[in-house]
Amino acid sequence: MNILSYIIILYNYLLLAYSLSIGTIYLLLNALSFARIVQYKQKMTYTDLKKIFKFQNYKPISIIVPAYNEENTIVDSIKSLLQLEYPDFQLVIVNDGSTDKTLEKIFTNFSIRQVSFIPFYELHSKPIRTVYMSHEYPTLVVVDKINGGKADAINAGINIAKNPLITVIDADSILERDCLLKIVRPFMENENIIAVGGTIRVANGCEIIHGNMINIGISKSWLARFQTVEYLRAFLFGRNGFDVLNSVMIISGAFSCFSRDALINIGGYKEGSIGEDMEIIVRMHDVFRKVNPKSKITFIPDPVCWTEAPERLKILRSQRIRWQKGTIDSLRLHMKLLFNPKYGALGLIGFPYYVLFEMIGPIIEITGYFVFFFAFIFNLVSTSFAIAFLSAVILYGIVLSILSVVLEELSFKRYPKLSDLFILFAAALFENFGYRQIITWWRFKATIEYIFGDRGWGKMEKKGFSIRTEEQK
Amino acid sequence: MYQDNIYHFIIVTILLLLISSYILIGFVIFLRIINKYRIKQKTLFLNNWESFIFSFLENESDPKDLINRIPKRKFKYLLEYLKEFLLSLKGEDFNKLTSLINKTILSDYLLKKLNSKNKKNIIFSSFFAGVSGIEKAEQLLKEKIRIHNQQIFFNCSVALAKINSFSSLELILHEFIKYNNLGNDYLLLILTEYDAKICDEILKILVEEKSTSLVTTFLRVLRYYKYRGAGPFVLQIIVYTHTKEIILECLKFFEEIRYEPATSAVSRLLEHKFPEIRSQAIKTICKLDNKSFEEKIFTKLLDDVYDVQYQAGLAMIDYYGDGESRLEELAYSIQKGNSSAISRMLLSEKKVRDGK
Repeated sequence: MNILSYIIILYNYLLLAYSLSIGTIYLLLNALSFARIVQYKQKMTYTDLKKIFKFQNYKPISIIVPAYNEENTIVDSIKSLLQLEYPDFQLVIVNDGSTDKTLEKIFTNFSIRQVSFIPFYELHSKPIRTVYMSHEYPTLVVVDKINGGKADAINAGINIAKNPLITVIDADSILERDCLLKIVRPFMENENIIAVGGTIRVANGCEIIHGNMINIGISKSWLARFQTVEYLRAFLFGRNGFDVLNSVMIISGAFSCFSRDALINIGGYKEGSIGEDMEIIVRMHDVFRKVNPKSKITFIPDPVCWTEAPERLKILRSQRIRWQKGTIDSLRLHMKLLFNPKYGALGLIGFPYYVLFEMIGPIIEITGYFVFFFAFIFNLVSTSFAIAFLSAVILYGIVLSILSVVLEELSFKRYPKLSDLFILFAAALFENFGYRQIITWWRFKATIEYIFGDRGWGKMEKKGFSIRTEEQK
Repeated sequence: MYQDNIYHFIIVTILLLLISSYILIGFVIFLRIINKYRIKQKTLFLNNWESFIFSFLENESDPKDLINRIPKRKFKYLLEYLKEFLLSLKGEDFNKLTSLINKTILSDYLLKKLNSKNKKNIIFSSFFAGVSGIEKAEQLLKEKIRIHNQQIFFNCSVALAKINSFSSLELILHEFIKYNNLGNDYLLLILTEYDAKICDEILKILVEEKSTSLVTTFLRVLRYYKYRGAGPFVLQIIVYTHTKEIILECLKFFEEIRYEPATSAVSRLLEHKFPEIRSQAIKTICKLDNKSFEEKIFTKLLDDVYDVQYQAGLAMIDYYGDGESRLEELAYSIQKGNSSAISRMLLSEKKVRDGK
């Protein structure tokens, strides 16, 4: 055997080790999450949220909704957000220089009038043109500004927001009515909390009327079904598990809550960031862990926010490429956290996990497929090894996906129909044959593009819940 | 050969995991089926007995007559049905429903469940024991809260509070400290299930209590019941304490009951080093005396901290006649950083509220 053959065989062994270790880490995270969710669920059975808020120990919230070309959904979104259950909140819609009729629709539906607000803070953002308030809904503030991207729009919103807690929400997200009551609880229980994230679920297939969730269901599209299982896995297991280790590295931009002072201290969202939601969390760890080692970014396992998942490959591809580039960008900017014991479990477990499995993982996996295929063709690995390898990768994937559906069923049980449960199990099985490989390929592509300097984040097309609901009818 | 063994080991392990997953799938499907069966049984029970329950509520009949007719195996469905009403009803209907429990064999049924070792049974029965005030349950509930289980502790403590068992208060507090995972809001949830007489008991404990978190919780209970009798005592606390959390709670208490004798003590806190205290002191002082402190509060608009400035601005608009014009001066004549921005926002909000 020549050196090349040795290298190929060695690489195959490394690949097997890699695949098994990522699966095992997930399995350990599963165990951690399971214990945490069971504990959380038990606690929630006797947590009378409405009564707790009567004790008036809560802080008021400013909800910031960056909106760019959201004419399809903005009116329903605002109406739905205004109905959220919380004793004291301000809703700040930031029209980020939309080129469609987003602002006109707000004008028509909410009788807004110009007011003379000037920013309280100086977080960097493109200039604000005008601030409006609604006569009909005095808690509604609309900021019209020059286009600068999502991070820029959120910064503009923070500059105008008046309350000590800031919640950032995507304009097309559907929130559960009591989501604010739930997401604020960690802030009330622990004064060292600086940010809280909530679980995001896939809304495709659900019945949504005027921005309100009416019935929970599963989409007819297999692509959306696979993503439903994927979200369950990521949120129920991944993030919950990392939360136990105080190593939450990302809070979804679709729904997150921050201490305003913490946001101001770190200078707000980073301008031009690709993955602004991850970058700000990693930066918060970077800055606050040094000042106050007790500071904590946490996560609540309740399904509080529902979002539209792409049902077309082209859009999904664009989304995943953006996410992967965002992950790499956020990690690259804060590499000093890697194996740094000053950051506790985050520096020693969380950050290295993301670097190894999320950042360079796709490169290892894709090159691994090629090398494995090459080795098999040229008889460098035995058939038994080939079977063991493929079985290990696929079976482990199936086990993990099934476990996530099982945990959902044992905890939140949000899918009422038995048929939906069967569909989820089927999706958990089938996603391992093709879907996962495609996702890995896109992530690989994004990583290569990023390495070679293409750091643009493409365009995400959205259909809008209202439209889809009409079509379904 | 050695390598083949490793592969086989891996495959066997993963296959075992896979088999476990499929067993779990079977299990959750089984749970669904069981649940469906229970819902069906509950519906059947309601179809047969709902009219009798309503007829009992409408007439002056003996609760024993109704309960003795219902088969014992259906008690669980009956109690589940009653639970929803017990949570929402008050007055005569509520008393009638509780008589179904505490004047019939249902109380024995619940006591038996409460005395069991099964967690679900204890939690289930503790609710009814508390809400319907089953006398014999008190001792059992006290025993159960000693079991180190958070769910049992909370539910049994609430039940004891509902039956106003003041003799359990010390035990509840003693056990509560053992649960690191339970925030003070949970203790507050328990304590506010007692009636307002708990305030006297709390005052007795408050004298000796050293723990900041317990003191703040007790102050919150006093505030919840607007217990004016605690005023002089809380005034003593605010004068001597240096703990931020306790000072804040005292201020909130004075604000809630509008305790005017505290005005002087509160006014001194307008200059406190913690901005949270300055901010709360502004809120409180305006409730106690809305005439004497206008100048002082106006200067707070130039404080270093946003929350203090904001609170001062709000107070100027809400409590002082010429507050609006003074804010306008600040907002449009000289740019004074945040105080200008806050004044502009508050004035805009007021105009919107007033429909101008």
